[in-house]
Amino acid sequence: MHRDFDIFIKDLSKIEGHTDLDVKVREGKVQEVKLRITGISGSILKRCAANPVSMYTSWFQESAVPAA
Amino acid sequence: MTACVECVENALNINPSSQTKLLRNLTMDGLMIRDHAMHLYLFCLPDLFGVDSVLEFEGEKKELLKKALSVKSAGNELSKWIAGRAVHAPFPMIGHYAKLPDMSRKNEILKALKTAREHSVEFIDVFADCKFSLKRDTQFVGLANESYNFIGGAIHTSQKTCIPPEHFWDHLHRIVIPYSQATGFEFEGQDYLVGALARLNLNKQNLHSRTRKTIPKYLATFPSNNIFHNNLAQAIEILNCIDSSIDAIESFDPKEEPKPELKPKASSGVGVIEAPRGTLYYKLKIDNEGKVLDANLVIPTAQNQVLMEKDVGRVVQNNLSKGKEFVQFEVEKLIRAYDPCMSCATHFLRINWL
Repeated sequence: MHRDFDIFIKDLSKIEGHTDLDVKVREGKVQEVKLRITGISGSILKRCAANPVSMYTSWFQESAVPAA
Repeated sequence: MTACVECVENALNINPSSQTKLLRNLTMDGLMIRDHAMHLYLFCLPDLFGVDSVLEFEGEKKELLKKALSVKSAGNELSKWIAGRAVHAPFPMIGHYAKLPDMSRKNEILKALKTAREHSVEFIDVFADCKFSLKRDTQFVGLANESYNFIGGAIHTSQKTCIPPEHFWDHLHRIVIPYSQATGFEFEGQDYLVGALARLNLNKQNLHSRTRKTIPKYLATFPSNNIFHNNLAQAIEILNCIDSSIDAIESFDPKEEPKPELKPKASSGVGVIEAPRGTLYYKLKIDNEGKVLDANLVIPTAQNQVLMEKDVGRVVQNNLSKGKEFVQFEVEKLIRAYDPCMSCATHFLRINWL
């Protein structure tokens, strides 16, 4: 079992899965649209954004099923 | 799967027989019928009727749902009969098919396809009546050939470019989208669209003759730059696949053939097909033992992502005065029209209003 590994976002090209959309509207104008294709929920991505290296390891830890 | 098989065949200089090519085209027809049917009839149709789900269909609409399932079932059965399974089919192999179809089921499959044909025409009427519209000037790109098959031919564009499929990558520019796990692409420095709308725009003259005779007034809609016409284009492709497969099956007399000898060698190959959502490019580099050293895949949804995002912005801007719920529904309809791989997920689209 591999206990230590790094996966970076640039290594992946996953298409299927969740999508998130960030829309920023100010004074009646659309300032920003970010359509995100990801297998990971946007909230987890945002929480991990400050520390990209831990992004996937954090997600795996949060998603892990506790041992019986 | 089909693109990968073609890729390895090209790397190893294997030429499949005409029977294998026919089975492959039938496999693609089955795939298109069931994949488009799922997207159109189960995801998009509720949008047309202003409801959230097919589970809310009543009366005549419920009858329509039964017809939808009948079309999808015909595609499933065709796939299972030819390729062994509807999804992740086991029979298609490099250079041949592991098992030939059981011809005792021929009439049963033909009957299902002929029934599905009647229904598919009815659905074309439904989608042609749809008034959703978002026009977008862009390049349309797709593999086109004289039989409107999804394998073979050259890459054509609406700007009259024609390139061999193996050179497709040379015309692409990868765009890193930092917040997305899918990279975007430009074709010769410009945005572009792949998928059923592109295929109809580029190649409607090569649809099956019966298809063209059945729906001439709807074909006049194309070329179109209304992204919602991607739905109509898919509805037409279902009919075309049914017509093509009926003809192929009626004259089909499969015979056992010798399997090609596979000798791995250091080489690289390219496979390009039209997947339901658009052009799919595969490039593999393999070593003397047949191990893959390098792989490069260009997937339809990734290619359409740049335009999808731009158009979401336009839809939001155009509908700002109508409230969040309305905007959210319009955005979902638009994303569904693009038919990305995650279109089912957009039924649960979360918009983070910043």
